[in-house]
Amino acid sequence: MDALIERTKLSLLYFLLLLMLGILAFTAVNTLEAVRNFQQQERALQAGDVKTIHSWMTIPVISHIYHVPEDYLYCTLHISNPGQRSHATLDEIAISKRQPVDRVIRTTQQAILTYRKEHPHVLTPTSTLHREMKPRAPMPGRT
Amino acid sequence: MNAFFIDVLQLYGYPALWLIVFVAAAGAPISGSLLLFAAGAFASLGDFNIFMLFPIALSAAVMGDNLGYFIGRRVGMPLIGWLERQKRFRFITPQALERGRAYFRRRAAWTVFITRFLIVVLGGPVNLVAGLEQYPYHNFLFWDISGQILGAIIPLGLGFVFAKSWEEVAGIFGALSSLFLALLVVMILLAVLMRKMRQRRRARSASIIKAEEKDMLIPD
Repeated sequence: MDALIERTKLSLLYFLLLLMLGILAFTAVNTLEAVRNFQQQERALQAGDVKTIHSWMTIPVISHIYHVPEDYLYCTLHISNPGQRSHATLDEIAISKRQPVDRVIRTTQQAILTYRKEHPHVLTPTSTLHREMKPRAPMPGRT
Repeated sequence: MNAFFIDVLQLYGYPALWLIVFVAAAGAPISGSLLLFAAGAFASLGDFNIFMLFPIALSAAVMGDNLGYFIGRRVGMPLIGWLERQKRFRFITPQALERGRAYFRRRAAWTVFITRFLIVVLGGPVNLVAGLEQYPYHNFLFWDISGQILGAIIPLGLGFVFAKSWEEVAGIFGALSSLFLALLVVMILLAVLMRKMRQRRRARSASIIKAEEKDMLIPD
């Protein structure tokens, strides 16, 4: 009886080990995939590809990364009070506008592409954008 | 879920970061380190001061861990006692429970340290178990702070350096963390399996010797 229990325990251990080896292989593939994703993202960012716009980005961040004036983006997204919305992410803008975030992202991408077409020689951020590179003083509601 | 926390982080700044990291460290199913990646990135893009982020993240994480530890210390023992009395949980025998507890006691320092920055997902349960096991508080605090220093520096630093692609870097970090956890479990299983095999071999050779001795004792 003891031998049977012992054998069952061993079989269970072998099974668990096999399962874990499978999970290990899966996580290794996942890690490689994550590295590849990162490399692709970096390449796309260097090329200024607008597909790299994410929902976590705020208008000042997009303005800085893609070299488009903040005011132009605010205007495109029909944001009337830019001063108060400088900390709003695209996700939050989408919520406040009751629109899907993908639509807001697409609008922003389109705005950047249009701006680039209209200003083919503008490659550097405008002066208002340099302000954003320094740590800001605490904002209202931010201590 | 993460988008919501990032929105909150952007809107309410440092207090929001402290609160979210605290709740995550106390054991809530929130990714505190993902938020630290985001905060590091936002600091690089001009929204936060990186030197302020570090003490805020560290204090929040340590306080959250301490809350988990004291909850474990306060409600852990009655819970274990109740578990041992329940017939429904008989598949966890008291001996198995005791073996698990002894195993934790032997490796508590290392476990507390590593779950602060590498296997973050186990941080909450480890705090509870450390409290439950009455692991000495000053030891817990020492290993907790040591681990959390790395736990704050790594995501904040990586987020700061790779600000524009912090999500992808956080993805790599998360994948590496899972890989390490899986590797650890495989190593433990291998060790247990080898020990079992050795015990089996020893038992078999002992029974052969016993049989031979018996044969020698029986006269022809």
